[in-house]
Amino acid sequence: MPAVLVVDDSKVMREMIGACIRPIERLSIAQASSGLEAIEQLSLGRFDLLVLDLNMPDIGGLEVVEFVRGQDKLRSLPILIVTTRGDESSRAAVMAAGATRFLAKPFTPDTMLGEVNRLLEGAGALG
Amino acid sequence: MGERVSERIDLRGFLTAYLAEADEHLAAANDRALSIDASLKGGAANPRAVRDLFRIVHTIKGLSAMVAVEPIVVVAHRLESILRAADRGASPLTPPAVEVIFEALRAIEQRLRALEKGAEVPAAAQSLIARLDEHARPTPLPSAPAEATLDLPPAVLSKLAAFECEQLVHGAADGRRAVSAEFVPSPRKAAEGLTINSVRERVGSLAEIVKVIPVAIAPSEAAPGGLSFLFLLLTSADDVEIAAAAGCDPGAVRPLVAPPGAVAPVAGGGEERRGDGGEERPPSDGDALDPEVPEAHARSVLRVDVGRVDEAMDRLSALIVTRSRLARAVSALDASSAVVRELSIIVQENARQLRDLRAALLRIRMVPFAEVLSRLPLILHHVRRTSGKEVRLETYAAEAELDKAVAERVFPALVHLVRNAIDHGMGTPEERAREGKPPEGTVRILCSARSNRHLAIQVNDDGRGIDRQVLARAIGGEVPANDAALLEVLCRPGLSTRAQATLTSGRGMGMDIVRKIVVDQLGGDLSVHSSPGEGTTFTLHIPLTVSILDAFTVQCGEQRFAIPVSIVEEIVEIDPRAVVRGPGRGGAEGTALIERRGETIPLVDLARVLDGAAAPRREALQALVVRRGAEPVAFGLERVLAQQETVVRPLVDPLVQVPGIAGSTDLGDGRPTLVLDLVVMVAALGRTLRGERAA
Amino acid sequence: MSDLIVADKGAADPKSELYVVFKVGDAEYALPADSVLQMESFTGATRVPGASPFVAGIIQIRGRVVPVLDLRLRFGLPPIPPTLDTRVVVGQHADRAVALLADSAREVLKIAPAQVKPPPRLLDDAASGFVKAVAQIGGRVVMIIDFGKVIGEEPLDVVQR
Repeated sequence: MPAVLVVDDSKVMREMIGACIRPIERLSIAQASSGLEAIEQLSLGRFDLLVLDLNMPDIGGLEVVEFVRGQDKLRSLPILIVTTRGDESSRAAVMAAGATRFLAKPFTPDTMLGEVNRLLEGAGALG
Repeated sequence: MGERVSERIDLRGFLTAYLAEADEHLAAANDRALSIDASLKGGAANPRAVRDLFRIVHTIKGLSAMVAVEPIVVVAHRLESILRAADRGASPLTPPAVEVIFEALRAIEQRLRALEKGAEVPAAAQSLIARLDEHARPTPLPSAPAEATLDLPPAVLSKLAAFECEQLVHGAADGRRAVSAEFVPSPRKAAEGLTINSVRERVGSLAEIVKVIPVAIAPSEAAPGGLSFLFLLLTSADDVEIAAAAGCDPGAVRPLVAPPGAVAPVAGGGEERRGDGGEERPPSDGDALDPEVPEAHARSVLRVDVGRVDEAMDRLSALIVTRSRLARAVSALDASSAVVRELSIIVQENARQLRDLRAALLRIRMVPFAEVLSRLPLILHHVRRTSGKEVRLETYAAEAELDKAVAERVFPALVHLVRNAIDHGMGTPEERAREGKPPEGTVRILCSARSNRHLAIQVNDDGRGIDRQVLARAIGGEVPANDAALLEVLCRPGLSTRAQATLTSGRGMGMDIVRKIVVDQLGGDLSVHSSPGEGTTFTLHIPLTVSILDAFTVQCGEQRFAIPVSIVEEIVEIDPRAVVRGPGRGGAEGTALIERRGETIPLVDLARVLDGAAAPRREALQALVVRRGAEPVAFGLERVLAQQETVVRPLVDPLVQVPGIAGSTDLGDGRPTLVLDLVVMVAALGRTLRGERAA
Repeated sequence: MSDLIVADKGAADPKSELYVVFKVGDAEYALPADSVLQMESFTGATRVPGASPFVAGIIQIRGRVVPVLDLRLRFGLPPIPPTLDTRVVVGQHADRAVALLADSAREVLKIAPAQVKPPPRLLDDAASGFVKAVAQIGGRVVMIIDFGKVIGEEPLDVVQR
């Protein structure tokens, strides 16, 4: 049963992403509204994919990626970064830090679903 | 598992949620912009507010892109560039830049409002875009790292921005202590309610949280996640309190700033070039940072759709009607029986419980008056700029609360009064100096609960006061003898513009609107007190028991009525030829029937329902279809006139408490118009019809 | 209230109180001035279908919405169309404000306690307790009404639809 953690400080954004990926069978979706909350959940729970927005109040997406990659058990966790147009410079930095893929807003539901499916499949989480 | 194409998910279905969130972001953005503006006036920068504002605008941009509101994305994108450059220290914001920022935020707000109304969202004005571009600068390269004197490991220090270091150091200088505390999350702690969110809240109420840094530690029984959160704080609380809030050992709370002379300064690495993080700012000025506005502590607050509260109120009204019927039925029983006495007691208690429930529901709609007032600083900012006067706003809301709908109505009245106070009541700084007053004028808004049914709001200014002689001369009338007469003159609609120009201290147009809102619509009271040279005070008394309904106004015979939109299923046109009459009885006319979507619906003349069978039957051209349970009924009337928001005041006197009459409203003609609850009437009708059949 | 005549009949007695006097039909009635909130001319009321037949309707006065009780009907007289003299006298009772519709209201009188007598038994029975005292002023008989009884403690005979 694949588990995804969706992290964005905007509730609307989290719901939208959730709506896009809900069709995936037996998917369980958890939400976090800040980088710190995301790190807490990742360290205490078990997830197959992290969907992460770069732009957050307490610690930014880049720091989250760096922290995650620094943890042994999370080293190979697929990370999908959600960016906004104009974030090109940060995109490079975050990919260098170890994010797996990125998706720029605005994206269509199909695109998001496709990316998530691919990443979960690649991690062998879709069984 | 193959890939499944998501069924046409339309992200525009999130529009309502988007609007609500965007509004919140916009309010926060304006708030930060005001902070930046205030700081600039004091000659300081406000890096935290700049960073916050940058992030908020970035969020608005991303969200707006997802729901495809391109004009907002365009404005937000440019706004973001200006803020990114400011955040990275390349081009600090100047007052003209801040003004453009306000303008851009206003442009975004206008487009949100258009979206809300379902109107077309206008493209961003070229002039605004041009002005925004003027202030944009290219983003800079990293500059030299700053030094810090914080007792922290280099790995942690490297994650702090310069302004955060400065904040910790200066905070320690002004009497508070800079300390670090650790929170180690675990499933056990989470079960006890200690999560990063709850700990942030608890610690936040004791201290100012400058930064929270996640630190990897070796996994252990106490730290199964291999994670610990390091809180960097400024506080006056003691270590034991902080430790308790963070769920750690008091020994784990450590000072960050060494006592003077003890430890050699540790050079902190500057923050590396980060994508969305901050940039090192060359230590230019040694100015103290503006005192930070403490973060508003999150109350335990729920966002509720007002419609849901109204729905609950409707259900309650139905309960109340049922209770009346029960009471009547009980009173018809043999009053001497003990069983009946007990029933009566129970019915009375039920009535009391319903009253309590109604009060509780009404409380849900209450918003703190302070929230209403928090929108004023932004308006004041603009009025100050255009009038060239220096004004300070002081507000005292205490714990006062009022119904959200009433608050929405009162706010424009307050804005009117504040604007007038500044435009007309206040002199320029030079004039004030001549009068021996401080150059900065003060407008004070004071709110107190006058009784548990009324709120008293005073708007006071320390300006020139109203000169009655001048006012009388300007309007060519008598000098008002007392405050009540003065108010009458001020509220005269359309004080002429010539009079406005010659009035040295009077109020301009708009007072008649204030009175209309406060007195006619809300049923409150308005009074004024003014002395030349001493300023003016307006006092508003607002009753707390009104509600606002979306209603259809209809013409029925000689009278107009208002009918809540929420109970009307449909408005149908009546073709007299398509009306069928059922069989009559005993010489009386049968029930009229119409057909609608395959359903046969009784058509009753609203005039007759209200005035009895003796009323002359008029030709019904339109009908409102109302459904109660499974029974639809069409109420025929001449014409539906309009749909509008109405303030409904309950009819409280027992003489006029009639089932089916929800209250009265003022449609602007000064005469009360009844608000009808046709659903209740359907119930009453049903009984009548069944009664007739049985006869 | 500019057309009111304040007569000082009871001026001699310091315990005199002010009363507002109004006419319904041929009779004169009075209410303590303390409990009178406003007096206005009558320009029609919004009918309230389903309310008691004594209720002429509701009016809006200085922002306040109050019911109008037709005193002619309440006191058993046939109704007449309003004239220029018709007045509404808005009285206060506990937390209720109710307007009384009278044929005219022109005087405020000072009445001394010595002039006030209990109502004769016959009147009392017929008037269902509406009159709580009778004042004799010169040759005039002015009936002081019990406002609470007149406006009723309970919904007055609400008509079932």
